[in-house]
Amino acid sequence: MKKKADITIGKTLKMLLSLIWRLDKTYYLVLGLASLAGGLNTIFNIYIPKILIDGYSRGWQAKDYIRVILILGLAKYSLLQLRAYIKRQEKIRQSLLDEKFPIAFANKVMGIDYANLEDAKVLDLKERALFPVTNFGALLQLLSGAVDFLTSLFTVISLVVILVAFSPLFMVLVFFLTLIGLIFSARFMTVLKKITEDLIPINRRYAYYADTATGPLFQKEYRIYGMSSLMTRKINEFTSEMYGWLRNIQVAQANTETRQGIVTGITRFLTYSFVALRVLSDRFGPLISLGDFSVIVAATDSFAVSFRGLVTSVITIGQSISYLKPFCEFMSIPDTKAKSGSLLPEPLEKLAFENVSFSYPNSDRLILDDISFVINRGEKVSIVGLNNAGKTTIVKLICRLFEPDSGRILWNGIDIRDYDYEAYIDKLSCVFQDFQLFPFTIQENIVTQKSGQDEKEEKRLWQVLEEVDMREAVETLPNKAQTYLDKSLYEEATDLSGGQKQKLAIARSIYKESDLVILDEPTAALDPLAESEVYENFNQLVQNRTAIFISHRMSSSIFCDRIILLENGKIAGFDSHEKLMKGHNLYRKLFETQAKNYIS
Amino acid sequence: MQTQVNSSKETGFRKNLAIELLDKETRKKYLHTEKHSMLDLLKDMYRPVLKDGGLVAASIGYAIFSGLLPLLSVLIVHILVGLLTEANVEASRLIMVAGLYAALFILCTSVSSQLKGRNSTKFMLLRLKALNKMLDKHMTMDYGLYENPSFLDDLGNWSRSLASNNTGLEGSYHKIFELGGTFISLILLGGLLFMVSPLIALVAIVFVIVFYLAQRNITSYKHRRREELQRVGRRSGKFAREASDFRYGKDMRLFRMEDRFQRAFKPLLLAYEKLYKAFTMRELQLSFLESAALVLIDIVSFIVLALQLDKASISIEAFVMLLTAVTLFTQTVQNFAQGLAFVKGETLYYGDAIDLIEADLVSTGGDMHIDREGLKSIRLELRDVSFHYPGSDKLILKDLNLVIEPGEKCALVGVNGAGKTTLVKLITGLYQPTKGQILINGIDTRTIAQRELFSLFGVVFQEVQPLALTIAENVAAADIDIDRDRVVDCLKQAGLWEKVSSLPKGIDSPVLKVVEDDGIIFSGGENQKLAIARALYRKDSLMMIMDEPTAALDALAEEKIYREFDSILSGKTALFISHRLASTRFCDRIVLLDGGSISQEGTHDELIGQEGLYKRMFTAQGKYYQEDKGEADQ
Repeated sequence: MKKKADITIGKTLKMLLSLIWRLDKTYYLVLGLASLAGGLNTIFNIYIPKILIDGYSRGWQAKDYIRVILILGLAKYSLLQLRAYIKRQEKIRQSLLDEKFPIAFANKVMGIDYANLEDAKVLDLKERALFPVTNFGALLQLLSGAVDFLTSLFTVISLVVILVAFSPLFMVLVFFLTLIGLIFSARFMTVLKKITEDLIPINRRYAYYADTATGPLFQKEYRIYGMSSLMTRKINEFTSEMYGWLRNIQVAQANTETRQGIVTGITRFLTYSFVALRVLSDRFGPLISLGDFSVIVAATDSFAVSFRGLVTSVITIGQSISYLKPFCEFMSIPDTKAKSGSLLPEPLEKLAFENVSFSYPNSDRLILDDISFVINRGEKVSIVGLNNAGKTTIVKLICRLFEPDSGRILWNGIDIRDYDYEAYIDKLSCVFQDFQLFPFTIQENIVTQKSGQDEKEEKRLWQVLEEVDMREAVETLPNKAQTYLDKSLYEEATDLSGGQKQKLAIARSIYKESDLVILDEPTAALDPLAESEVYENFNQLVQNRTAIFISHRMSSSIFCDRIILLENGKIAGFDSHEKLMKGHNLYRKLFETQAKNYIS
Repeated sequence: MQTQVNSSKETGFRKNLAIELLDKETRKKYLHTEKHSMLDLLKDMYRPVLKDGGLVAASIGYAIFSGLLPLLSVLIVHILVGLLTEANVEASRLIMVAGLYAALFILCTSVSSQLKGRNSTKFMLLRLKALNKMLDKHMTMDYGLYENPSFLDDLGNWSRSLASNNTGLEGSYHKIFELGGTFISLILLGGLLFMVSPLIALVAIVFVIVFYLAQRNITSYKHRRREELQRVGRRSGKFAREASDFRYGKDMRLFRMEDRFQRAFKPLLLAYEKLYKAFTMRELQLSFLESAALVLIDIVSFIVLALQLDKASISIEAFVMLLTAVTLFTQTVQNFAQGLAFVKGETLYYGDAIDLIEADLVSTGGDMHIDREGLKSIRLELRDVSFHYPGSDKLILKDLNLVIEPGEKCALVGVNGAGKTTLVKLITGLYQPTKGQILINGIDTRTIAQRELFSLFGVVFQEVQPLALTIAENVAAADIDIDRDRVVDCLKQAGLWEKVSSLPKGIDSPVLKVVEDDGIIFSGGENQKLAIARALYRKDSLMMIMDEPTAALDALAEEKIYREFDSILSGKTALFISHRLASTRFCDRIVLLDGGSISQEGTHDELIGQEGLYKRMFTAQGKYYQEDKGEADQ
């Protein structure tokens, strides 16, 4: 992957906004309404006492009061209900978005170049991208920050209107004092931002240990080797580290609150004095009523609170955006389809490697060094070599999971990159060494693309299961081929043994009607009988398709037409078994080491 | 709180919990032996808090200083308005009063925020302490339970209250800390209004009750339905995680599975939305009642005040003050009721966590010991052992009998799905037989303390991966008292030393990149060697069990391990599973598992002389080599 420039906060925000819009068209409407309702509520509460106090100077009777109070009560009730209703909508939307974000992320992972997936940096980016969403609630923080922002904005504007009408000079004074309070907030927020950013990697490590302590991978080892105290101690190392950090945050926050308390105290002192003086005399402006007194006092207080809320929410939003930056960085990796060629491949006649060299990104080691060979239609070719000789790399290059650094791979003489990606992939099928079955039904794992002809599909499915000797095993399952494969997702699922899974993977690859079949260590988990069945039925399994076979078991190369021997990134031999046995050293050595165990 | 002790009177052995607790209802009864009252839970929560005098003092101080604040706001209004309605009041007196108020305000806010800031992190420590116990439970409870997905769901639910800063246990601590202040305000403002009219205080009490009951209804409704929501949420999260798992990348692309994942996401999202709507519906319905009760306080108080003003039984300054008091009071009452309901709801979840922490979830153990004096190996006997998985009738093992003598090297072979790995889990005590006995030196393994039983074995499991620890920690399975020379020896024996010694940090190199950026990623074969080294490191183990330890190794590396097998074992009893039958030749005896029991046993030469599955498997695997040998000879 090419090194991408860091994306900016502005671009991140834009991406997030459009992603949210794409995932939920009504969210912004709900967001606006929620803020409006929140703001209205504040203003309304400020005015209620004024109305009642002014009633006194207007000489209201008991029945006037009761009428007004009932009307106010009704209005307040309606407002509260409206708020409750919108709040619920907002909550529903928010938690749905929180579910949808990881899904959008998954869609991205499924769509980008495979080379990314073997890049340790991209893997790291993925961890950094998902962690804030799944463990930190960064998205929820952003969304509630947005509501707070709009609510405060609405309230602040209304309050400024009230206060300016009362006294522009006073407004300026209050504004100035609030600003001082804000400086304290801002200073705290920079400290907080710094600390939380420092905490993210610590938190991530903590999450690794806590997750693996509860996760399924190592439970056997924890028990047999008594590792629970080791894990607990690892977790505690981070706990005490985090305790120190968090205490610092709390103390810094307390100090900020104390400073702000002082500013608020001064503001209140000025407010009460000034407003009281205005009630008392007209030296600083027109006389005001006791009702206005209560409005101004409440409005000044609310102004300070809301204005601080406004700024805090901006900081919260900024903070969550910086948390979500890796997420957006990941989401901006381009999709594969964008750079696919457009030719449609013809049935395979000849597959050729032409001076292909390759080393993995971010690695100096040359895995394949100027390799050339040709495989013809219908040929069965085996690739052998020591661990890490580059056997699997050849498979990945053919599958267009990686591109050669130099040289070309030709399908019927045409560079495979010039073909439409999906059309080309449809010509291949493969059992990868580290194959994975998907958490769906057995049928869905084998019939990966629906053809629409259900009956024909069904028939072929059972035929393929028969060929890999899984028919009986599948038939005894309660839901037969409709049985799900992942017990942690479906209660009715089944757990297959490693060997059975491998058989299904083989079934999947022969079900797919492809021109070229690649089998990379397809029998590693099979018992000797099942393995020899695969070998013996190999020709029948792959039929007249071209096939490439990779295995540590040297015996497998006997039933192949020719064998590619890889050594130090070069092809050290490409010939039949008999010929290689006569000549080459490494091949003979590998073969005889294993063979001697079987020869009495 | 009472704890459940797992023992069965009939047999004298502990119950096999993996099977006993399969049923959801039984599980509920076993784990939640009694309903906890909120008071009991609070007592339990506050036991560690009460031991910390500083924290108690801070809580009381916070309550007083923050509780005074609303009353101050009411009083200043009262005094100012009183002064304003007086004739000829001097401006300086107004300013003095305002100044005094400001000073008191600053004092109260400073003290309360300092008390809170300097103490609240302690609550996090209390939560993490409880969380540690929970994690330990995960790693030590019966392994069979761990394999039950619906039990895992329960575990997730029950751990919820320990997972976050602002909900559950820690959330309740923080909330109760704040509620102290709210309570003082409530008393002060309530008392003030009570003196004006008991009716106001009465309406407030009605509100608190209505609100509390409504919230309690909502939270216990949510507590009941949390499992459904959690299940859907967990599924959609798991699907998203699986689809973003890089390991799926190759197959995903080759078989174009994206569409299938899309189809999986859609109904899950719909189900989640539907559930969440139902989840929040109760809230909306009850909010009608809550808002009505809230508005009622306002209406009643305002009318009472207006009537008194009309009758001139209160002055205008009292009226203005009391209006402020009512506004603050309504706010306080609401906060109080909300806080109370929050604590009630969250302690429900805490009760679940306590139940789990205190439950006895171990299926084996007793006070029998293996006398290790002078012992280098053990004698293992399986007597009429049968096993089926919980929730399935299919017998994986049936009346299996097997004896492995001290120091014997035994190979276990069989076709895929014969139950070899299951047998390993039974021997090591991860599973319990559903019938029959497993004896070590004549002692039933169910009566040996679990830790001691596990410590008898060095095991290499199939498909092993390392943890993100250092190499030495991975080998020693510990972080303290590591015998470093022994680590090096074991790595040498496992054939990994050459690689490790080439690393700049040697055995202190971190493994995996999750925790340390410069961590090393081993290949599959190297991971296997690391696991072998771990099994070897275990000094006090008396039996070595290896399940397909060389599956990921090439022919030469595999050969090396076999060659050194004897020196590796140093006299321990050994059980060895492999598909590569060649490896069985290094063993004293081979047993073949077929149809749930041992169908053939003997040395390689004996078995190859019998017609049977072993011979068929061996010839199948060796056939190509044999034919070739024939050719080469020609």
